[in-house]
Amino acid sequence: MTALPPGHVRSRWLLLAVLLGACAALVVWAVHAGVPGALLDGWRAVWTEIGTGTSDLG
Amino acid sequence: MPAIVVIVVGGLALVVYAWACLLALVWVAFPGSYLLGVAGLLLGAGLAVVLAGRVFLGHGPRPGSPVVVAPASTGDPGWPGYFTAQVYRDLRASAAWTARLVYRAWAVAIDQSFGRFGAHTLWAWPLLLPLLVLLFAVTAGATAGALFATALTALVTVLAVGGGLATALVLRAADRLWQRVFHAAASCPRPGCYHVTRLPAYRCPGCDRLHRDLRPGRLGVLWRHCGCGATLPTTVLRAGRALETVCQKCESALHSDAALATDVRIPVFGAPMAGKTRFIMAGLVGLSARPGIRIAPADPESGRAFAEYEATIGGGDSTAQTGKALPSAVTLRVAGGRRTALLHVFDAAGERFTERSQNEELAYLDHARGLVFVLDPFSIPEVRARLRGLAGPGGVPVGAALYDPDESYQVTVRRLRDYGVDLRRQRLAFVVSKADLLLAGPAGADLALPGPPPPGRSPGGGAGRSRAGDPVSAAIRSWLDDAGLDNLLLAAGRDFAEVRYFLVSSMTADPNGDVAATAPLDWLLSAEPVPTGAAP
Repeated sequence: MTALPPGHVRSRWLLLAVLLGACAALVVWAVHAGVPGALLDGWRAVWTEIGTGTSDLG
Repeated sequence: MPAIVVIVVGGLALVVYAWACLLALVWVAFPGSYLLGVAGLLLGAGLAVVLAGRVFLGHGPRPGSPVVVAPASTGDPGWPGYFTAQVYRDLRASAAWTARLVYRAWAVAIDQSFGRFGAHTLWAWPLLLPLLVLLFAVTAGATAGALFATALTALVTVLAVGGGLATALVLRAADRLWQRVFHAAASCPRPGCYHVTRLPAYRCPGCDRLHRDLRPGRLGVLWRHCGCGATLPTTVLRAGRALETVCQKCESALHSDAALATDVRIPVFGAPMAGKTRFIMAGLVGLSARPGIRIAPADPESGRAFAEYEATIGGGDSTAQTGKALPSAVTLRVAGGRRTALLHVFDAAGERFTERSQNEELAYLDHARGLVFVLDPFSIPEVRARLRGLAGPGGVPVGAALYDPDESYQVTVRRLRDYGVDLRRQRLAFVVSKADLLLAGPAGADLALPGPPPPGRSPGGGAGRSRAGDPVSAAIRSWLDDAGLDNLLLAAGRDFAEVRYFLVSSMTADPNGDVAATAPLDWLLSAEPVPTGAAP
């Protein structure tokens, strides 16, 4: 491990916790906002477009 | 004929290729681009966040790892706080790491396609489209992820630095407030140094190196980590209780509560043989005899000096002449109730006050809030003239000062002015010494001190129970004026913020006598938050 100045480890853990917390919050928000569903809808629309020549999304 | 076959076959191949391209575009490139685009964005963002996380976890050293800060190479040998230095290096390292991986992804993709097949790769252009989308998506996702991590880190850094700054300001203000209220400072008692500061240096208990500015700041708000790894408290208030205090200038050890306790410096000046040393002896021994306060020497050297004072005054011995070397302060720790003060008294040989060049090194004169000028009444020319011809007890005593009183005052005041000392903020205790001899002979016959004091007050010029408009002080001044010292009195009144006159006998250490040597000290200390045990 790199030799860390005393006390810096705590600050880095704090930053890591904030980063992971923010990522988790972002994922939760995305799920609540329906992003995965929208992506699936988009995928289906593309596939339908390819298969039938028409799009679900108009 | 063969040419027609070639053309037909070529045309058919072209049609087949075009058809294959169309099929690949529709069935592979479009859906593939959608899938790889979404996946690439998530992959890139995740990559940036994971790499930032790995940097914060302190992964092992490798090319591109953050450069770990070192203890400050200039100033104090402490580690800089994480949010003042290391965080920027960590961010730079994680961003560079992410960029390097994205660049490598592009390089591998190009190498595996154009690098291996050259321009032939272009024949598979419909299949290149999803790859291109993937690479762009990864790049965009990584950029967004890196920006996200940077923004979060910046937010935490701003909060940490802002909070630290506010805390540091509060702690620094607390230090200053304490020192202002209690008149605390750190005085170096060493001869030739006499440095006075509100911010002494502190020695690290781990490596003995000096920390010259332990105030909260870039190297730590509540605590600081020395280069050796030792944890030191910041602020003078906390460091002074835990660490060895050291003079900023000469690096010698200071008293344990320097810069915390009330610090009073009292220089005593006057002509040779004026009675300065005897006055200091009687004054300090007298103070130590007061009930209600505890006085103890603050260091071994002061302890030796104080023991000598007690022996000399207690035994009624004569005072040895002060050596011409630069004086050390005699420092006493005065405690009463919950208050503690360091009282530094400086006594230099009178010869150092007879010539301007001789007092050049007496820097302690510049740092006092109150000074004592000792005048031998038998050095006043008119008094000497009056006593001329008288022998025995009524005449000029043996060992009287000979130097001109005016000059012995002016030489010191000139030095103070030359060094920019604002005398209008200082008080002067004007001590007329040898009261026992003066009052016993004809010279003091016309010194009319006010009559018996009201109950509870001591009489006479002693006892510094002298107050504003004190009749005792006025009587002594009047006597000096009559003795022809009008110029000196005018100069003293003009130079200093306040002058009080005392008649003192230093033969005994009676702390409450009429002409006690404690009186001028009481008066000077009355302006400081120092317990003296004197009658209110």
